[in-house]
Amino acid sequence: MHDPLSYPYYPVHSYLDGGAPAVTATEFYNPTQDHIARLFHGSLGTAYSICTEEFDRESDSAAAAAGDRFGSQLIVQTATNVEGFSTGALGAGDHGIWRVWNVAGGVSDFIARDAETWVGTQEFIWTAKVQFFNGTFARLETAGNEGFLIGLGNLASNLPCFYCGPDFPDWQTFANGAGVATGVPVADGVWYWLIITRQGSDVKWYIKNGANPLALERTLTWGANLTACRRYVRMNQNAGGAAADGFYIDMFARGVPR
Amino acid sequence: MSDFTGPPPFEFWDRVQGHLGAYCHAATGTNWSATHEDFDNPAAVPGYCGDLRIVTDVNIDGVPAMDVAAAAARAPGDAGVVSVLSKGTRGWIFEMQSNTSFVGDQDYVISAKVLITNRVLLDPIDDNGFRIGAGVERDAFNVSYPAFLAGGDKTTWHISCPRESGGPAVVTDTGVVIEDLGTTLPFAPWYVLTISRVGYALRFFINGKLIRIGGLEGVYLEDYPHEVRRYLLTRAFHPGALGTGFYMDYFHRLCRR
Repeated sequence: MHDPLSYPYYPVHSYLDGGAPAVTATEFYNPTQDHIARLFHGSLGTAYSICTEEFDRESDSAAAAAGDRFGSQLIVQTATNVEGFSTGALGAGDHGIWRVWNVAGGVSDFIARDAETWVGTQEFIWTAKVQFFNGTFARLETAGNEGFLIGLGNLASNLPCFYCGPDFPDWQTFANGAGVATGVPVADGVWYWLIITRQGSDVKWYIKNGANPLALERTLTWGANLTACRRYVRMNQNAGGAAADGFYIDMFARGVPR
Repeated sequence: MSDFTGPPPFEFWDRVQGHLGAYCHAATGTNWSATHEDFDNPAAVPGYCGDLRIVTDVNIDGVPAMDVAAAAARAPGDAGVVSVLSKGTRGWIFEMQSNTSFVGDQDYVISAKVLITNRVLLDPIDDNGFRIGAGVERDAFNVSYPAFLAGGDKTTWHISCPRESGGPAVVTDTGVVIEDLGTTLPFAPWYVLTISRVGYALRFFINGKLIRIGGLEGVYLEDYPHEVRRYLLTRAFHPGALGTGFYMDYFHRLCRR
């Protein structure tokens, strides 16, 4: 469940009567039991935790201050000259969208997060779907100043994340004090699925870039004990920010063993 | 399937993969989206019924009409129940909805477990005495959304759905009687209302039983509608009784991205 490019996210085989291909314990029986167990534990049990924010709640007022709800599961930590609120789905595949935008132009800062998770040395999966609009990317703060960041925590936390800024053309990956480019350019008007997982001791970053298939962008062997992990998202602009700059978010989820 | 008498047909393996994949995608993946509302919060959030935003809650005097509150579970199977009941006897409108999902041509299912009190005091079906489903009767783009209907003028559940893409909604009597014992315990039974689209075929179920429309299993509609949402509208503009409204146990949505 922590590899978005394999079973259960993709079928093992299309099985045919007559025994070809064979249904094996390694490929099918054991993984199926494991994944079902994770889902049941995540729902009702003790050994797994799943939180999925689908942004399906319509806002009755803008999330514009610390303490306001962002979606149903996240809370605004910082809101400077920004508003977050629900908006209509833009196109096929959008299921509950919230928008964050710069209200008056100029400096803006938005941070939303959920409660802490102690991942430890375990595997995990963090998944998010975001899009910039209004030419925002060019007016973000620099990547080092977290122009836009989404992941398990901010840069100071050293936790794995994606981040970007106009000083780099591509999505950047970060963990353990070092950022590495992905080669996937950041553009307005494009939905990005951004997935961070740990499989064994390998932290992996994946991007689905618009209509392109999901692809592994980076692997870092890092089995460190990760504490104070959150679903964390930030948009940060300096004085060059324009009114109505912002981003959409469609989904932000995490799965982690207990 | 029992030991030593397999193997099952190939469909079993593929369906296990398909269902497991869909659930995992909805949880942490990219290809499905699911929202569950079990009305498990014992404290009502102002302006909301569960996670559905209350769009309209007003009586004919222009003041809030309904009491939205967690209700006691009254029978086995009730697992988090919300009640939305009129505070007074003046006529009222109540409307709530979730955010929108752009389903395009993908599969989806919307399902709710509801119970209506004092159905006979609701507005007629044609006036949306009670409407629950995927959206409004007709939006600004002239799109009509599939829904279940009830009203003070009909004793049965009805379905509202176009018979052809872009066509007007057609109301069909399901023949399923809505038992209504007013507001005195024991209430009427629950009704599980499900709208499903699989491969352009739109189907309706009440308590798990498929409802035939015009003698057919469902309606074949390509490319309709693009967007859906969990939606409920109910109204009783004739003088009513206290405690008129509905109970709800859950309101879920599942969509393929």
